[in-house]
Amino acid sequence: MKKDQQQLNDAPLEEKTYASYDAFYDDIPVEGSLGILAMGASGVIPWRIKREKAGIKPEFILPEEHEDDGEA
Amino acid sequence: MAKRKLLLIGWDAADWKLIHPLMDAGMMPTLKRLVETGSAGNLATLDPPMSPIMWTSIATGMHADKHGILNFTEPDPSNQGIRPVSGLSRKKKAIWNMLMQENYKVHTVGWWPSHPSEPVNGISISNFYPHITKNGMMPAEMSKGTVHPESMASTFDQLRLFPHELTSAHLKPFIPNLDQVDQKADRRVGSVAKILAEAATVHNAATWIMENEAWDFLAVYHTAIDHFGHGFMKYHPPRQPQVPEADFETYQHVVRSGYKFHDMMLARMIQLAGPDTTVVIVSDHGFHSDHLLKVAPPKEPAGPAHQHRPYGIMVMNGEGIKQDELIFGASLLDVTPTLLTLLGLPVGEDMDGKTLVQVFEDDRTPDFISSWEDREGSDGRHPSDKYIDPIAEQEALEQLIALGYVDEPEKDVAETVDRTINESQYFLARALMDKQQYGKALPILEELHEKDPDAVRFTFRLAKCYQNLGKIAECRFAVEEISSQIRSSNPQLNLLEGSLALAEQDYELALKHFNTAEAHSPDLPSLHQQIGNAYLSLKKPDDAARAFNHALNLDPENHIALNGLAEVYLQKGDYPRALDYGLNATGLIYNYPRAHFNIGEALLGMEEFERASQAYEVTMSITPNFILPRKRVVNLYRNKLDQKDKAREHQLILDQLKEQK
Repeated sequence: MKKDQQQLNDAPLEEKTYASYDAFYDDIPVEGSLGILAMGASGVIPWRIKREKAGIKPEFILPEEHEDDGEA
Repeated sequence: MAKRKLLLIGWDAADWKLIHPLMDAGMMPTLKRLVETGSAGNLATLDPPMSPIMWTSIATGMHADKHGILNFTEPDPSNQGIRPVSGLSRKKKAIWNMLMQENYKVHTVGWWPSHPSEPVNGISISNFYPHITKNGMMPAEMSKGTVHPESMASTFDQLRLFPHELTSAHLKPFIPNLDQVDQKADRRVGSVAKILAEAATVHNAATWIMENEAWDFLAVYHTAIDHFGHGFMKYHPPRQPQVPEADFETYQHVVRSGYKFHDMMLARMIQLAGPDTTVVIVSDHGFHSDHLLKVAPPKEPAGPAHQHRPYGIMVMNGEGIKQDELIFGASLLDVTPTLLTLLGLPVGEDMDGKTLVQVFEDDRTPDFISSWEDREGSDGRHPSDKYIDPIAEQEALEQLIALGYVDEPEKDVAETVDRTINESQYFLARALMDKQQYGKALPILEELHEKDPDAVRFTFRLAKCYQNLGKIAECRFAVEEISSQIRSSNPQLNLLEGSLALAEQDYELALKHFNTAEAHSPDLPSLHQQIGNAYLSLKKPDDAARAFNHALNLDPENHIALNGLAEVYLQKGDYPRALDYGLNATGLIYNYPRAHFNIGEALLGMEEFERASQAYEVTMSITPNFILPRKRVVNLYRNKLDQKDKAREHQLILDQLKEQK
């Protein structure tokens, strides 16, 4: 738990400066992170390439429409 | 001079009650910095507190009766079924249309409702964009009309993130013991993945625009906080007795981490926006996170809205905005007028909201035009023939069916359409009642009641409408009808019966009904408000104070109880305290004529005649037919303030009102 919370609090990657996607491609964890998602398009695009190359399989079973998330 | 950029971010259901502890714990550092170096406060919601209606009020500065968005769904003119509410039902310009007319380069992402996307001068991405279909495991086709310009559709299609792409690394901050959850039996993990993927999708599109397009105005709407709330607020600490311990252990971090993720996205948006941008964050309503949360909301259309708290958030930060300033008395109707004034543009006199002048460092006041609707020029809306009134369309269709030109729809389709129209009319009546326009709401509710006499919620509103119009006999009839339909004890009915007895000046009977309600639901804040009112009518201010304080113990931001205390101290002749409570009540809900009137009464008691007249004027601007403040200003202008012309003007209106009565 402590480790996970620490991960959430870690400075997101966007706080580092990169000249291009390629420059930080190696830094991106293949499994991704919330920091990468928070970076938006320029974080998700290169992570997605890396993820697909690694052949990571889907992990989650989705609910039926509006099964648990209300909409109001 | 270069235009300042404006970034408007919508976080559906964001609530200070959750945000403040998270900021204190260092989990929302970006928002904290914006609050400390900007202006922030509550944003009072409207009734009915439903998101498509609210977000359109935010974007137009108008109530639902003017902007035309009335429900989550609407009749579909093409196939006689229903469809999600469309942006084509919006009858008024949104702020991005106004700004485009002023040569701002405008973009919108995900605003609700905005499908099909509008042909603005920048990029417009509709609220259909982040939606993931049932299985969510394979990329679904984007609906036609999701992206404008259409040539950009494939770019944004590729920016959609799907839940199946997420990994444990993304979800463990939300569900630390993810590995122990049996997902085949428990689909809540999938729900978190879905909500997170939708949020990331919207964020991808917004950041792409900021990095790749010129922009002066960008509006971005996120629904995730609301969805996390409806799905997971019941697990938010402290554990509620009805929540199983194992569920609490597994899902207690979801809501908190959802907020934290929004702060992370916000940090990125601010980084991309740069220092010459004014950042505005708003929510349409809050979300109960304590004992006031209804874990199982009523099973009725829009029932989940019972979990909403009446105060959303507003944060403004940028050059010219006061630092560390508390925004008070703001309603979500005020967002568009305030943003227009910020940018030096006029406010429409037909807007229901006001400019929050308190947030500006300088003494600026709003300029006005009669209506932005009259302003010609390219505004990024669809051609006028595309706009529809879905209910009128349905009526036209029914005529064609009657004439035999169109086949009659299947029975269940017709029933669904009827139900949707009825609900929309019901919400319209509620919006009118929220504006205190009971006379306009009444015929709508009477028609609904005639169509569906078994729908108790229609009869409830009808009874309240009668009550507010002083039609006590009709109200009594409606209450008796409800009593015959509800067999079990119902505290809401007890409250209604009690308030009716109050109107009939049978105070003892009123207290009897309230006591019955209290025995059933002692923690209902509205109950203690009513008990307080009964004691006020009995001229027992100390008992009334006890009841109002009880309501405030249950919910410290109960504006009705605060106003009740203002009346308590008016009765006791303690005018400064009455003034304090009146100001606190209007600080929470500005659109509250009775509280402004009480402020006037307190100031009158303190012999501050000029300020008293101003408070009465505010009261009358909200409810022009309220006679008592009119009488007061006639007297003040004539006898204390030496403004005979004004006194005559108000006397004329007063005579007309009396005649009408």
